[in-house]
Amino acid sequence: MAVKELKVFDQKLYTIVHAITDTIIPPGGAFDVDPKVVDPVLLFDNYIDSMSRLQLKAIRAVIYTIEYAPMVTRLKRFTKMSPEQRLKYLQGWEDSRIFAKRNIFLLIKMLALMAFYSDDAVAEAIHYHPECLIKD
Amino acid sequence: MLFTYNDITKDVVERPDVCIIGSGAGGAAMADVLSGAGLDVVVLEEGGYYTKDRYSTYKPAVAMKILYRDYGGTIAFGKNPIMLPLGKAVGGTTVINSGTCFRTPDSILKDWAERYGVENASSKDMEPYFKQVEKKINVTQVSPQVLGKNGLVFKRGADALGMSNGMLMHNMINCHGCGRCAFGCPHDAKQAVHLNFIPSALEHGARVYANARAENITIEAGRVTRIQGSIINEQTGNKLYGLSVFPKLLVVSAGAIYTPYILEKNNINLSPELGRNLTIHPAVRITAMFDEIIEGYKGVPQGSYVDAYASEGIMLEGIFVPPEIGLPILAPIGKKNKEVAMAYDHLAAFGVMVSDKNSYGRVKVGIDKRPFITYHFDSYDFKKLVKGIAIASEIFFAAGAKTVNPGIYGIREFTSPDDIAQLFTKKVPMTSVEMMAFHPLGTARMGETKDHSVVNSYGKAHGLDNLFISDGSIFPSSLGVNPQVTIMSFALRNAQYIVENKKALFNHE
Repeated sequence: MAVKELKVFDQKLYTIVHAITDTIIPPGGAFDVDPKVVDPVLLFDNYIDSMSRLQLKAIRAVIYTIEYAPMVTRLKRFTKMSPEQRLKYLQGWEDSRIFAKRNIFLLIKMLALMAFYSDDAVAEAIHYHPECLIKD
Repeated sequence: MLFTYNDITKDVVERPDVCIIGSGAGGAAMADVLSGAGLDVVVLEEGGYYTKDRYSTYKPAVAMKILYRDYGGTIAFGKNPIMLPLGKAVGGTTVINSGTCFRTPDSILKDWAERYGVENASSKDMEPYFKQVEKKINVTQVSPQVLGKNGLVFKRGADALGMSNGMLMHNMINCHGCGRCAFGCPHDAKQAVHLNFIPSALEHGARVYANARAENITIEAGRVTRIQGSIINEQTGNKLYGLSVFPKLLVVSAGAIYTPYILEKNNINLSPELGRNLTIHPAVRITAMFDEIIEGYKGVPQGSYVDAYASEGIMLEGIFVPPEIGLPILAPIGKKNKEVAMAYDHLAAFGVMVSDKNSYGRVKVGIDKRPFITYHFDSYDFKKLVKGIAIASEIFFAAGAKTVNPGIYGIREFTSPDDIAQLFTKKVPMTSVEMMAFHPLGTARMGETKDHSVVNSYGKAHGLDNLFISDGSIFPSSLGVNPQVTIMSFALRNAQYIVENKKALFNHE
């Protein structure tokens, strides 16, 4: 864990965001990258480091909402759920009929995935080789 | 001289003839003409100064963090909040736009004259300015060599359906088709204004301050007398030094969001219309999967268009973004996410943009002292957007797409052209469509009376003799096309007006 290198998240947020990113982009599957090389939470944290205080407050608030909202209906925090439960829960956010809920989650998903898919190792894994059509 | 925060070691005090706030399309063109006429010009730009040496090293996501305001996530709030990307750099949004160039449509210029009383701005009047701009920024047609397959497949579909289409005009010299126009052209092939109007103004002796935020505007006896602000550390955003400018004339060119914002923040209430009448071009992206490899990120992202429905206010223009920008929206969470990522090379995308006739928005100073944007997207305009989605879907199927994703919540991706009918048989709520918008205009519109407009036909503020506005905010209505040529052309025309009337405008004593 690279908590020392974190600029925005603390240990607690790191744990929650780790659970969120692991659910959005589960390890394994169609391609894999070495988690020692690519830490999605660290990428996410470093990406948002120059946001305004207000924006960071909003992001922290959303992350804590994702963590604690299931306490109301499932009596369990997000990080205490099984991977299957987490996926079902976050799919509930992603596919929510409530526009605001859907879009708040989209914000977190976008920031996490933008950072993740910007990484060289990930780009290589998905065979993304940006090139110009006319070479120098 | 161009100064960045690195070059400045003490508070800045300037006493120029003209101070221009903002260095985008309107500010840069204005600076060039005014300095070329021998006036002493100072330009203040809040963003940093970047050229290909810097942004060619940025990945797209990093470019969004550095070259855009709010990471590209400036939002217009309303029933359906809409993202409105804005640039923040010397060169403004021209650094991160697609480079697409259109002259102002004749019908729009006629409408401005008839409905808003805008004088001397007919197609004939504007012709020399259009020509000047097109020469300066090197407007040329997208060449087939750099169009890329994303543009080609859409053209193939439009041709099969007999729909009018073509290659767009863009401001490029020796475009390599790198697919990165929106993140700073890595070869500086795209002729954003920091590569032409700004260097030209610098040659004429203008001084451009990057990382310089204008904050307070002082008005005394009906004239702007002072602009105060800060020199900002680009890395931390912290204030380094103070900035005071005492100009004879002020030009605000901060764009249709920040121009009304800075004026309202300073209680400069030029007209009840200031900050109102915001138009944007609401847009959606339609994606399609093909068996063939598209590699849409290679080639000019916005290279071709379909204008078969332009008379209805529906324009279809190319749009493609690299995976780190596209996948976060397109790919669902879970295992499927990586599967979609692996298929990205087979994806094609095209944009649908509508001209907002009945919709309207407003810019105000928010409770957090930042611009607060609201936008009411009218149902008539929304219907046009849905029709545009249907047209784009039809074109993709005609081009051989396997599936088409209309980007609408609650509607599954289309697997055959028959599915498109759902757009008209099912209820499509506005909040189900993931929208973006571009080209904010109209918040300080031209006209001849203070009750209905903010500036006169030449951009001079009603009620203040030495304040001009030069950006997209002065346009009374949506253009229906990309606005950079219009903004620059009006800036040239209005700068000429200032030069011709400088005695009256400057010597008020």
